Amino acid sequence: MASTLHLDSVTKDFGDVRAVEGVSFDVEQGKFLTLLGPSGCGKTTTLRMIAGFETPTEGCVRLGDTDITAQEPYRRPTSMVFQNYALFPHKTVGENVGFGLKMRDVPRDERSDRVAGMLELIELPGIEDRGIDELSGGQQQRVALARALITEPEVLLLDEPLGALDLKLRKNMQVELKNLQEELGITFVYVTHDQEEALTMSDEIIILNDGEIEQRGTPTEIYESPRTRFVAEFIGDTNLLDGTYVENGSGATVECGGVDVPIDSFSAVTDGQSLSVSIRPEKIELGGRTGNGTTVTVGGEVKDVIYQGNVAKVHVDIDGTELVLEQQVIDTVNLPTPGSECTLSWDQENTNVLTG
Amino acid sequence: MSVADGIRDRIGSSSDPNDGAGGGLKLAALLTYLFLYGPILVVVVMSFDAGRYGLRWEFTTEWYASLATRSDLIGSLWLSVQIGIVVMIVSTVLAVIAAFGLSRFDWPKRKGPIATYLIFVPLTLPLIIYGIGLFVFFTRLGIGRGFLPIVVGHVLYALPFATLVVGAGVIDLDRSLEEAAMDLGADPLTTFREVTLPALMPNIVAAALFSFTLSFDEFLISFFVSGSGAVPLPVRIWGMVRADIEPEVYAISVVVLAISIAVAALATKLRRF
Repeated sequence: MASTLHLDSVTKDFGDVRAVEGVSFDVEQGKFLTLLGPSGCGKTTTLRMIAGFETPTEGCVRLGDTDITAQEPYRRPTSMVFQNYALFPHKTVGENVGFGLKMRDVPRDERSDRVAGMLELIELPGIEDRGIDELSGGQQQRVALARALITEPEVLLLDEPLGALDLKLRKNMQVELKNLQEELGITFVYVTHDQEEALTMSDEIIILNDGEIEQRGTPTEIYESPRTRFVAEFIGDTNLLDGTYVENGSGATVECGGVDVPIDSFSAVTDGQSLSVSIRPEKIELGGRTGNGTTVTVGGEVKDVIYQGNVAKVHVDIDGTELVLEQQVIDTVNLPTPGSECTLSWDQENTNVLTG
Repeated sequence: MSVADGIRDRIGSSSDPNDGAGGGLKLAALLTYLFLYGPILVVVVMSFDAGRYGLRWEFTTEWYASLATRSDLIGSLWLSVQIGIVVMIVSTVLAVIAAFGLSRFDWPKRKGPIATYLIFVPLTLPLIIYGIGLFVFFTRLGIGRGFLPIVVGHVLYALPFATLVVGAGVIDLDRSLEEAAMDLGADPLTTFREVTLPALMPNIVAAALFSFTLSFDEFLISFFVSGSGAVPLPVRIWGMVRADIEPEVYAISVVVLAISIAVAALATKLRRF
């Protein structure tokens, strides 16, 4: 029953507004895929089309070989965990968790056994008879998860399920969710706007912007090699440099104001065209470096040092262009002083050429 | 929050016990409540008065005792209760349908607000027009006056109120609850039965009780379409006070009052707001 979830050129219009445009991807059975993007990017609409709450205007959704594009939500082997949990307020915890089994006409005895087992799994054993309003936010979250998992769905859809929890609980739940997913081997499609959450839990991330896919990749790929300006800016901090592409013999350079950033020659653009590059602050070091690859070295003047505890942000001016680097604070005495001359270096591999 | 809470909030925030205005405010409040409940108090006091024409007030429960022998009053009370129950059921069922239709149906542009307006506009229309209209309509049909015209009239009267109460619940209803139920395998009908109805139950019960009291106390419509043995209590009482107020009228009025207060209290308790 290795069913891959496929989305094929899925588009959704609400009146004149196009919420999702030509989104295609597939998720293998047992993978954790995150749809990441700012609010209004179409991630929740995409999830709701997989659940069956919205019907695509164009395109189709398939699970394995079955086309489920027009299938009613109550016939789909998918389950959803809602942002606000959507627990039934007039039912007990046990009735909530057992609801899916009741709908499948599972006999009462078996139902209560499986509910008990599921509550055990989410580490809240014996709370069947409690009311929903007697639970804390974190407990409600777990109960919502249990209710969605008890029907053994092929795909679990999660719509910002940790959004309402406080930071510490959220961090714990991230790890627990990931462990649970690996243990059960269920496909998870997870929607969030929280990049850190996405990087922590996902096997793969799809970045959505304005209803379209910007980039798809593993957390490492997305963070280390953003391909578009949007992705580079949305995930983490970065130095974005806009410049002109200049070919020179063996390689190429992007001339960005005061800095010439060497890159591998790039066939998609021609000489003189404008091009942007992104370099993560923590990839840049103060002083020369002796790495394996090609090292880029530039000289500049320290403008500002912002101490942030474990790291310090150092702003460096290079002939009018500012670069920010992040330095681990091992010894506060060794922080550079503003106004001093310095040398910056980074591995050329860490220069990301942005194509969009 | 109830209206009373709102008033309490305002009075609470503006009246300082050390403030000279506080005493005046209390007096004003007392007079307002006296004004509101004065007429009712008069009826209650009179119902326990022994002397029919006397100037002195003497306590008695005689009139309550003799109520039992007044088959005309008891018959009308029973008829009013029967009408109230039928009106309650019909009006509540229609209100649930109307509330869902108004808030859930995918109305073409601008038709939605018009439909909503048309449901609620009867709230502002003079009841006497309903009375005349129903009277003419049922006379032409050959049905004349009686139980059915009264029920129809009362449903027309109670429906906008009931729709308002149920509609408030439908608008506040969290759609994701219904989606969650469907997601877990409940078809639309099961979802409605298992999730939507229970979530709306406080509003539905309030609408039902509201419909009952509206019908139970209604006079104008009943006045036009009652007759031929079917005379609801308010019309019967009206008929009795024209000539001379019999003391049993006070007693039955207090009974009516007690029923209305009980139903209203129940509705308030069940609505939880």
